[in-house]
Formats: sequence, C-alpha cells, structure tokens
Amino acid sequence: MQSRAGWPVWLSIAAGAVMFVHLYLAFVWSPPEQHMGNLVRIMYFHVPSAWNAFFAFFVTFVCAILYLRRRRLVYDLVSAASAEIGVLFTSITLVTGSLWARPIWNTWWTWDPRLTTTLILWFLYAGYFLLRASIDGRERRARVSAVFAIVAFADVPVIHMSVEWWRSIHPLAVDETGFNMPGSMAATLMFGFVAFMCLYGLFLALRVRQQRQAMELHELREAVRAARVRQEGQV
Amino acid sequence: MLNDMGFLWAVTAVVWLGMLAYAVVLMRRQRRLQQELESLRRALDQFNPPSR
Repeated sequence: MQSRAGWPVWLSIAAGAVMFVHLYLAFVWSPPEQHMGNLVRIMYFHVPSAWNAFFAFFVTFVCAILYLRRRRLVYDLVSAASAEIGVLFTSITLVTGSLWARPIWNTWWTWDPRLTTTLILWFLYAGYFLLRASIDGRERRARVSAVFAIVAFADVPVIHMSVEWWRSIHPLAVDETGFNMPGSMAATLMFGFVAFMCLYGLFLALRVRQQRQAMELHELREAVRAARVRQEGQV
Repeated sequence: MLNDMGFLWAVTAVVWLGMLAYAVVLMRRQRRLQQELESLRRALDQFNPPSR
C-alpha cells in the first residue's frame, strides 16, 4: 500500500529535477542567437510544449482506434487523459508563442497558417471535452468521443504541413535537412522535449489512475444504492 | 513594456506555473476521489458487515 502511494511522489521529484536541468540548459548552457539574442531561449519552452501536445493527441488518436477495435474502456480512459494533457500543452504553446511573437513580429497574434491551425486544434479538443460531458452512458460516450478524437487528429498533420502549403512567417526549427541551429541549441531543444515528456508521463499516469478510481466510485455508488434498496425491502 | 529578458521570464513563469497549477488540480481531484471512495466503502461495510 505504501509503495502505491509513493510512486507519484518519486515520479514528481524526478520530473521536477529534469525540469530544473532543462532550465539550466535553456538559460545558462545554450548560447544566445545572433539576431534574436536571449529571446531564442523561448524556443526551448515553446517548441517542446508543441511537440508534446502533438504526441499527447497522437496517443489519444491511437487509443481511440484501439477502443473502436477492441471495445475496452481502458483505451477510452487513456485517450481522454492524454487529450486533457494535450490541451494543457497546446494552451502553453499558444501563450508562449504569443509572448515570443510580440518582440519578434511586433504583434501578440497574427492569423498565420500555423498559429491559426494550432488555435483550431485547441478548440477541437476543448470541444472533445464538451462532447464527453454531454453524453450519458459509458460505452456510448467512449464510442462517440473516439470517433471525434480520430477526426480531430487530422489537424495535427495540417499544422505540420501548414508552413509548406501556405505562405507562413513561422520559422522552421527542424526540416528535412535536420536542425537549423548549432548542436548545443539542438541538444537543449531535445532535452526540453524529454523533460516535458517526463511531465507528460507523470500527468498521464496520475490522470489514468484517477479515471480508474472514478469508475470504481461509480460502481461503489451503485452497490451502496442496491444495498440500501435491499435493506429497505427487508424492513 | 517588457524587455527581451522580461518576455523570457514571462514564458518561463507561464510554463512552470501552468504545470504546477495542473499538478495542484490533479492532487485536489485525487484527494476528493480518495475521500469519496473511503466513505462509500465504509457505507458498504455497514450494509454488508464482514463475517467472522
């Protein structure tokens, strides 16, 4: 029992430590850029949060397909938990992007294809949760939201390709030739991705556990209700 | 008006506070779930006392 209560604490400490190392790499170890100066360090937060959001929605997409194929509720739980974390990372991506755009592009927001499609992604998954909240019945909710999650994921490749399909002012950190930056900056960026991935893993594990407990809670409520009815029948 | 470092600190604050706020929300949800589970288990035990 003690070990079960302890793993979130140890995982949180490990994720926190990795985040502090990331902070050191982003602020101290990596060099400033020639044109942007220290503002380039925003990239180490903005880009990993965007990549993690896409990864979280990919997990949602895969689990939605698995649910529709196998009809096991655990896939629905993981799918919803991952989507929630994806919305968190997308929110961080949008806010940090805006804070980066202001000094570089002299505007908080512009209707650039990549920005617009990312905002659409945020609305799509906010809609996913509204949809889940509006449907009664565990199986029906899981089925409908799985279909929605699969369709909503179509926006992720559109975001990726948007800078090539339309005229965009959004820079490309990584293209087919690799990283467009020195090795130390690329290493910090990749470490940022790993650090944010640790947080994603921690949040996902906690959220899935909570979803399982919520199911157990529902079953216990039903059992108490049934026991109460049985007792009243005996009196 | 924020200078360059001001924007950088603002981004860092958004990321860290965002993550911490979500962690706090998760912990509060966990505590509430745990309390509800325990009270329901106790209620169920009253209906079905453990046999010796």
